[in-house]
Amino acid sequence: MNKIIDSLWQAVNADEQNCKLLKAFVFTGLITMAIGAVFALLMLLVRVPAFSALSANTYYQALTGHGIFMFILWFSFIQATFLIMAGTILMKTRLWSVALAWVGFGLMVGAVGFALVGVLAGASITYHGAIPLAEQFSSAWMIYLSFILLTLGMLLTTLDFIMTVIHAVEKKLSLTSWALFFKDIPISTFAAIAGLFIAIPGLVASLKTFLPALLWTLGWGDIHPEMYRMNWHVAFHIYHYIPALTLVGVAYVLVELCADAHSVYSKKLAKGLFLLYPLFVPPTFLYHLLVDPNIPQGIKFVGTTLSLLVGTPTILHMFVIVGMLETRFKSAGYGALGWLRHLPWKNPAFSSMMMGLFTLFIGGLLSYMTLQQTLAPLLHNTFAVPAYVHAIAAGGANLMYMGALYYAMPLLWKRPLWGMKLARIQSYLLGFGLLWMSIFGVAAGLSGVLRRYALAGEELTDASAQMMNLSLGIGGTLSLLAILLFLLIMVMTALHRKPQENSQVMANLIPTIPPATSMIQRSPMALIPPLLFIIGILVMTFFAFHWLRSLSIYNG
Amino acid sequence: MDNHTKKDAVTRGDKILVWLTLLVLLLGGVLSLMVVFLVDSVMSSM
Repeated sequence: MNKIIDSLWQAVNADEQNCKLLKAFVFTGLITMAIGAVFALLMLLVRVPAFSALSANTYYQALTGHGIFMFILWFSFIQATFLIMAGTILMKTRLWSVALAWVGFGLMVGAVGFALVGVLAGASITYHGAIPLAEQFSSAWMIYLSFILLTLGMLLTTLDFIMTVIHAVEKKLSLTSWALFFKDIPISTFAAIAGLFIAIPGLVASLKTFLPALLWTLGWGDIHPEMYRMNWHVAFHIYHYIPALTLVGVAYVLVELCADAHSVYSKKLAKGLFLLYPLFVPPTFLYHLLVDPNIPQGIKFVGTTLSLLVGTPTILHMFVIVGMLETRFKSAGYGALGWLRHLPWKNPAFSSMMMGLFTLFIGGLLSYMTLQQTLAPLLHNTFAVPAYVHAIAAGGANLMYMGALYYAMPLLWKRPLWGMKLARIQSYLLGFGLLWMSIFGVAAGLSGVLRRYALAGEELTDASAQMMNLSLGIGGTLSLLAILLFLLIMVMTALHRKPQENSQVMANLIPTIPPATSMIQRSPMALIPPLLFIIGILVMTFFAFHWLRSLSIYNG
Repeated sequence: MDNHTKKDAVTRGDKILVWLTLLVLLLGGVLSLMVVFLVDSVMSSM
């Protein structure tokens, strides 16, 4: 049996209470994903011109539900799962308080309930909970209450993680003890610690945003819509960088599990790179507001300039992660390019990770167009934005999380992964579907298709309708099929057999890579993806400004 | 994780990582909280 998998198996089995807690988080997370997928289907039935099967009202309701369930709730549950895993299974220690985590989980389940009832009762206020819009819907308070409960639940889970970390250090006031602790913990646990200093201010910002909104909907106070919008963007900006950090932390676990690859560069370097996030993330929130006419141009200029740096830590991590694979396979005797062919492409967790990295790469490139101060006002309200966001979030982060669940489900439920053949195609199908959706979606956005607007087919030009048919009709449908396939594999894994008491249930996920026969310390090929990304940014920027010059408004 | 007493296992680099973590996380935390709490007054002054 593989050493790492064996050690994880023992850690999971050493604490039954923790295992139950993790299963509850994963199970509820999968339910939120399923609900989010149903809302996605309803959206497709409106926005794909070839379908145009439902009313506009259904679209706005589904838009609200899809955003909240997929982006907010599913990500919150799965990230809370990873946070607990990072503090327990990966560190081989016990959670400071299982009871506190259960209270946090309960509050988060409450958030799911209020969000679902709120959306079904017709609070079509999107996940922005836009204040002028909320006035029109009597059930809007449920959405704000849902966000508050979710924030409180995550706050308790995070506090539990912090206490677990402090508890694990032998002498709390000794520099040597902390140094040993930081040295011993896996890179992913360090990533979770670094993420705290985005997470805590993000949760505070969330309470500061949604508490006044809730009171206002209940008639107990006044609220300034512009101030709410600004606060919402601060909270949202911090929140949406948690997946950016988490997906990298998960990638470090997956690359060891799937490919038996270890960092040839110092672990301290990889850990140190996570410290760049708290510095790079907070000042860049202004790129969400480049379209806001109330913000002076000078501030926008600073915002857009800082935003160009926001991908730096992730690009550096990608070099380390790809370098881990390159050196491991070259050490096993594979050639300069031959190692790529021998990567474990048939392992669904590995293919999820690689497709996640690839969709993140493409989505990241597309995103750099909308970070430009001049382009943001033109593209912000077009379909180009959700198109590239899906490559980054539903692709990059979500695929990475799915990859982790391909290992976590058999580990926690003690059953072998069901449907290995289906699992092998699922990640490729989702990656392909999302890339197709994103590329044609950006093209639709450039042709003028609006976002968050239930355009019926007859209101679009032929070219725009064609792009939407390609983007959502084909790409969106394929992605949805891949999500359903994933849910089926997860549910069947949990149900189809009786639990087994040995780590053989993981047998089909163990890497079968020849042992290292030499020590390879350099990874020149790993430089290629970051260099391609930087060249890609320049090409995309050139293309974007070329497109801008071609617009009649700029040509006079 | 169960033995953090072997002082010889700790290098200068390990201790620097602790200080760096503390510094950056405090700085990042303070910066984030500043954005969270000062945004209202910046907006009001515009």
